[in-house]
Amino acid sequence: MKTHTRVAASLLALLCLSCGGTERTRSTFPLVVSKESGALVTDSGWTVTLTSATASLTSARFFSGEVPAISRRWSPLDLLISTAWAHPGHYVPGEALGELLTPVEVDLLAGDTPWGTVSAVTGRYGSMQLTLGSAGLRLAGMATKDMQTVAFDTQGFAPAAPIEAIAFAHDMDASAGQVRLAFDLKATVSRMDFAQVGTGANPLDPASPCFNGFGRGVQDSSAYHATWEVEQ
Amino acid sequence: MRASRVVTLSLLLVWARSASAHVEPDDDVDAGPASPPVTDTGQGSLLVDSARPPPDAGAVETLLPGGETSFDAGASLGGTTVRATRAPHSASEVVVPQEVVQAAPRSGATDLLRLVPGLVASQHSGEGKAQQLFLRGFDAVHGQDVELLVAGLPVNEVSHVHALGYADLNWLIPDAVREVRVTEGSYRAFQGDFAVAGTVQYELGLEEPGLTAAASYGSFNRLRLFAGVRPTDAPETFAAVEYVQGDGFGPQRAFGRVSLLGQAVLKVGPARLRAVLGSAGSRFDSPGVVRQDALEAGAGFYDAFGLRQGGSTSRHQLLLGAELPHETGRTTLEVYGVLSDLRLENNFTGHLQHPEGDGLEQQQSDGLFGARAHHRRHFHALGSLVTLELGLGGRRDAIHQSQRGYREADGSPYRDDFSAAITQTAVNAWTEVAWQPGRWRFMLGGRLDVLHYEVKDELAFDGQGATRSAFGPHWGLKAGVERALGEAWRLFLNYGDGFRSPQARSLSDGERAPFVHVRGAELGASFVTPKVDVRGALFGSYVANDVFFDHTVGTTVYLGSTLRGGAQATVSARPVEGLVLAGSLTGATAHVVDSDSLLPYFAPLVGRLDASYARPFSWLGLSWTPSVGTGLTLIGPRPLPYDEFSYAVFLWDVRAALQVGRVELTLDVQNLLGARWRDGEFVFPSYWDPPAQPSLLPARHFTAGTPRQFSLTLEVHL
Repeated sequence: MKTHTRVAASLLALLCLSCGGTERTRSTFPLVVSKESGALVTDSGWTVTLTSATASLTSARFFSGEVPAISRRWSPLDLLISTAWAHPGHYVPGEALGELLTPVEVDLLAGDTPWGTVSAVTGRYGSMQLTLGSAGLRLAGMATKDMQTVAFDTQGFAPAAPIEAIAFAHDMDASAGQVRLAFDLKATVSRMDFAQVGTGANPLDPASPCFNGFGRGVQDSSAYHATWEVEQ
Repeated sequence: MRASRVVTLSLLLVWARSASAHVEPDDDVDAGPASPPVTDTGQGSLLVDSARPPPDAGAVETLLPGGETSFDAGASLGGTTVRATRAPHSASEVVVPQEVVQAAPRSGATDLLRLVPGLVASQHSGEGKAQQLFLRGFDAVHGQDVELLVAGLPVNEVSHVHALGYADLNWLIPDAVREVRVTEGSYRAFQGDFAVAGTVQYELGLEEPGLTAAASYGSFNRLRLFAGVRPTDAPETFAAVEYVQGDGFGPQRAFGRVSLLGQAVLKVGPARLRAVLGSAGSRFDSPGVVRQDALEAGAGFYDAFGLRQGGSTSRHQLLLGAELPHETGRTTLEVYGVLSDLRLENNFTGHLQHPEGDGLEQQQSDGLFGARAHHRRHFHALGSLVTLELGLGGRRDAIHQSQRGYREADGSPYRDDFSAAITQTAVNAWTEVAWQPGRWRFMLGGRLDVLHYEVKDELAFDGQGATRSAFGPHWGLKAGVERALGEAWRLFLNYGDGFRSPQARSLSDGERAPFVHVRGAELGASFVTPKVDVRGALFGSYVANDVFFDHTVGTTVYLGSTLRGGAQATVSARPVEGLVLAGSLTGATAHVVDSDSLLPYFAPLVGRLDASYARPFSWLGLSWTPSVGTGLTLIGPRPLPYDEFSYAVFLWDVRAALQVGRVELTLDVQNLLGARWRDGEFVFPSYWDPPAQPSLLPARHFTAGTPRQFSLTLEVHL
């Protein structure tokens, strides 16, 4: 009797609700990790060739808060009145919309690495947050400039806080697809000056300006590109 | 012709009340156009046996100018007194009489609220916190969309720290509820603040004259002691006290409460004086909410999440009123005061917001003083009866409220969120005019409410404090058309504007108090015969700027415009002597207009059936009255965020009693089938197991409903 009553109640209730569903639904989608292609040249002119690039990833989260961006074209007036950058940020994460909490070790030189399935809800996505594990990001290889070659190994570096405000603007619905998280290693190494490696480059002296530049590159949210790829 | 029908009504009404009825000048001889010979037209209420001879009614009625009939305020008929009730002006106005109230087990306020057709009451935080209410597509949270009154005393608390319109009914003694008057929708001018989905008025009185003493003991060590006294010749006068304690059906569910309630009605000449007095206190634990995934991982269905949750309440109240009849109507004056306190500790989210714990301690003290006047008179215009009602009212709430965070580990406070002193003043004036040409009745009314707020934010400017004030009026239109078709059928068409006052702390200085304004309409019909009362209605309502307050996480979501609609059917019947049936079925839907999506949490399908049968007889020189009763509750799956639905609920309560002479023994079983049901279901993020990585995604949570409970009551009538 209980079951029959509940079934009848459910059917009657569904009649009342037949005009639609709630605005948002639960959803899942795969997350794939890769790296951007292209030559790695630092701001100080070093050309980097990687022999190893590994990342220890702990969690990825998606939020509704969009990353502030300046989309306005350059104007000659900027020569007279430049944009004021009083302080960084204004980023507010907002509502959590998706998360993948399974740790993974990724070989960034091995091509696409499936990380896992993101538990999510539909809605307007604005940004992503990435947490690196204790092994962090580790790069090794050769840096070359003016006939000078430096073999380096950064050892692992993981920022204390998650990397926030990775831009990911997307209207997520239930359609099939995946999110690609691509490491832009050119941005990661751009601040590294292999002329300033302190006590050594292999392993890289963690107190050196070069390592400091690596650390800032790891924490730079623009070094990570999150994009939605529609399933073909 | 019409006058003679009203006279007939009066005669039958007097007869129907027989020895236990009494007279009240009212109000409301105006029983509608060409009314059928039925009074108290609520569920299962007085269904008159027209075959029985009417008594001599000369002592109880007077003729109004024009031949209409009214009751003499002081009239009596050999100890018989008669009360006429407010005539329904819509198909959704019903009266639930005491025999239905007593039909099924009523262990507290939740069961009293379930008497309201279509209303779902969820007690998700222990036996002491106000119930969460759902009615007509509205999630009224703790009362923001349902106006509740007990014997004229307002129950909803304005600008409450926990939830807007917080309406705690736990102090109400079930035995002292004489009837429940339900006015769903907002079509009547007397309906005030929070009457968005409807108004529920509990009227007081003890059923049995003399002294009644009762003791109950049941499952989970629940003990209840009750004593009440009612003079034989003053049926509305009584005093009652109730003491209840219990361990609850799982961890962190112990509670205790005491409530004293009394009412005195005194006739002084033509005037009727009334006083209502009450004092109550309670202390309760709360188990919090259970995560669905934790249940699936092995947690218990009745487990508690979060330590030291619960609270305490106290309420003291007084109402003094005078009813002054005059030749063509009456005037009622009332003053009232309520002192209420609440301390509440909740943690629904664990450690999500703060590593120390998200526990919130909320405190609220409200000193309410109010007064109201109601004038009603009858006269004739264009050859037809006109009923004019005027109402004036005002109340002042002096509120102090605060919220601070406490550590989950030891309960020590570590964060002050706010502390505020609020003075909220509300003044209203309303009128309703009903013109009854022939079988028609046209009703037009209006209501003006003006609110004034003075808020002192005590934590602003490093504790120096800052004050701000706001002010705003709300105008509401009420209109209705009624048509009698034959003796049994009536059709109703109604329109009404309702409102909900805002939370004071949300207002900025100089802001025009932004009311939530609802426009509602209803098309209904009633079919009333001496043995059955059936009502049906199609209803709809539109809210221009709706807000949804998620009290589990304390956030307000602005929804834009919302639209609700549905249908409701109620039936009450006395098919054979001793058998009383009262049932209702309500279907509703609620949408956000812009996105055409369902609102979460409302109850799309609610059914309720109460039935009782009693058959007195004499044997061995004693009066024996065996009786049985049952209450069935059906709640369809409720929409939850993210296209999820709650579980359907079906509950079956039964009662069996035997009264022999002055002694009565009652066995109550609630949730007879032992259903493991979810009283409340919510979707929000929580984090209970640090140092694991917290999930920030919304997750299903629930509060467990009452399992099967037995209770045995021994009652003595002296």
